[in-house]
Amino acid sequence: MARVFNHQIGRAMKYWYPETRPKRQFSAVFDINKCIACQTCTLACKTTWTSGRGQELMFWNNVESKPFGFYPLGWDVRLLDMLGAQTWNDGIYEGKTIFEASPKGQRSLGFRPEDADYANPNLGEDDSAGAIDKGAFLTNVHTAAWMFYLARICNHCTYPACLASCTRGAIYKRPEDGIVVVDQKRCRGYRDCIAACPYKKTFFNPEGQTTEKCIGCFPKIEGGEQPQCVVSCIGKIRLQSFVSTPDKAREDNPVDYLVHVRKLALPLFPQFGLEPNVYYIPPIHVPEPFLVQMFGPGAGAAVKAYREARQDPIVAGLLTLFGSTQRVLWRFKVENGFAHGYDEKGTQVVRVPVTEPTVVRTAFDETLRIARWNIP
Amino acid sequence: MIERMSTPRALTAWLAMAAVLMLSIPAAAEQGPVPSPAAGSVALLAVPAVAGELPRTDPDSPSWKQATAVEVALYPQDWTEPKVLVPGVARVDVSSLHDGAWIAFLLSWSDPTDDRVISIGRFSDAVSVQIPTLPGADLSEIAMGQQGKAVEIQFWKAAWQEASEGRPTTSKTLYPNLWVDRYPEECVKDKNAEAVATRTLASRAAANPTQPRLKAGSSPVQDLLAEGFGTLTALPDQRSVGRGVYKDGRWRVVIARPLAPLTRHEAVLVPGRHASAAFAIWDGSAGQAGARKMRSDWLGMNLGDRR
Ligand code: SF4
Ligand code: SF4
Repeated sequence: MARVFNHQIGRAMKYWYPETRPKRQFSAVFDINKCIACQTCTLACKTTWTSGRGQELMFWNNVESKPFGFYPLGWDVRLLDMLGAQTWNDGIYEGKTIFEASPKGQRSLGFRPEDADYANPNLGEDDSAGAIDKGAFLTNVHTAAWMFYLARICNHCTYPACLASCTRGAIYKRPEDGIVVVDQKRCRGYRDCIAACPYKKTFFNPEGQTTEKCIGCFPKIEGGEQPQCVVSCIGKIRLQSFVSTPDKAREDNPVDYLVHVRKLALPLFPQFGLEPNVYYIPPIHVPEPFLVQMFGPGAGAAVKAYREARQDPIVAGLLTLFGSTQRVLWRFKVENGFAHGYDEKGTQVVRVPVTEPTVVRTAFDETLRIARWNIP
Repeated sequence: MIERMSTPRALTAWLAMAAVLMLSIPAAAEQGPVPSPAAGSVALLAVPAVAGELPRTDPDSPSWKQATAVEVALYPQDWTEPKVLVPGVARVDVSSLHDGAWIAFLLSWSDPTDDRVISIGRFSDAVSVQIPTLPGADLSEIAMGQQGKAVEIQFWKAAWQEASEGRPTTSKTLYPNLWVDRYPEECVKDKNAEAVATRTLASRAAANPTQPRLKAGSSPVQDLLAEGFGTLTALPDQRSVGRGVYKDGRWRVVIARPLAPLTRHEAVLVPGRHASAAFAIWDGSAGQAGARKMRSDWLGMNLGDRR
């Protein structure tokens, strides 16, 4: 094992290969607070990539209800249980990553789900963490019980466990954009990667007898466009671009700004040690201990910053750029009440008002001589 | 697009290097070409020239009476991660015959479960024969060969045999109650259906070398070459054949390959000369695949003179 630096856990750690970072790293920010679980992203991905034979129960993108929804069954809680309680100290992870906790003779800690674990992709949908007392749903449902939707794709990790586990070197990270792909010519279906990926985002196709996974819509990325799940998102919760390492963070890079500058968007289970590159703005109504377990020690501060986003023109502006364009945004700026987005060449591709203008209509329309029925 | 997806050489090279660095070479591999019976418990496998036809695909052929079986001990693969820590099938009985052009191995082992279906959580029983491309004193590394000293591998898998005999694994055979509205190829005109079916099955679209093994009527044995861990590669020319039968808690599998080398290397197996082979077994119900296998040491073979 080599020693590499993982900025999400604030320290060096063991990994199967030495540290190599791609020219640029595919990344995305998902704002959990806005997801409505419509599954449009899931279907957009499915119809694009996984409608074939052997892919019936394969969802490269899935949206599950937390805390009781899982796809595949128990993917996260089973691993958390295997890892045991671990600690963070002042932003530095003092516990063990899945590489450091690897059992004797293995490359990482993990488990391989059974077929039936994939059979109910939306099990636990809308189940809340606790019972809601009668009448409580009329007052404040979130204080009584909570739940939220967790949209997931492959994290195109900086230190992918799937890649590390493959004895054939059939999984690789594209040097040009950091997207992690399975070489469909080299895979022999050993399924070590399925046991290794803590997010369970490699899938076995029993008809082709190889493993398949999210390809980050790389043909679109190469053309400067955001992936299918991002551009189809009804809730406009997603933005895809490229993330820098913290030392090279750029204030005008939309992902860097949310991840490194404002620390609003956090990695999913950073303690596993993979440096996942999909970042989440945590749900603001969920108890902090749960959020810390899922998104690391920055969760409390991220929730606070998000609650104040309305008073922050740059954050508010940047959030309006989510779901506003097909193009990948390399740069953004918020100026005079408008958020502007630019592509790789610096060409402006989108301009959105930070606050939509409010139009007040009179109750009686003089032109049409008719009373209006205003819906609040 | 497919081109872009091939493994970067640097990574493969690193993998090979990492694997070599981690090797703990077992003593037996350093002993030399033919383990002498006096030095260890390993017997020599006599490979007589067969009288009559060589049973290339028939484990029940009476011709096998002409060969003497040798018990070959199997050890957990513990050279590289993922290692096998709980021993599985500990012994394979090997007999072999040749006809001057082909050599056939009959491999028989006890296995309480017949595993021939592959799904997310199910693995297939399998067996392989490994032969060094450079015989003689300069034996290849037992663990998948090494750079410049490749090993040829013939690999039989029960799941491939199922497919070759017209019983392929499909989602419908795995999960009979699965409901599917329509597959993409069912939405297009007949002449395009095959192309769409191929395009929507990634391993087939990419011409994965295992794909032909999933076709009805094909051989359940694959010819491969390796020069160290992580380098196992299918040979362009697939020639070997075989067949397995599972009965009374035992697999009996025949693997037959040409005597002549399948690659550009010098002659591998020559009647009247010594040769070496090693064997490996994967137990499906133990979740074994790839590196998770039971393997033997090199076994010396004496090929009888041509009849
Ligand atoms: S999320 Fe899983 S499949 Fe994706 S790169 Fe990370 S380890 Fe690999
Ligand atoms: S499309 Fe967007 S809002 Fe709908 S489920 Fe997916 S992430 Fe959530």
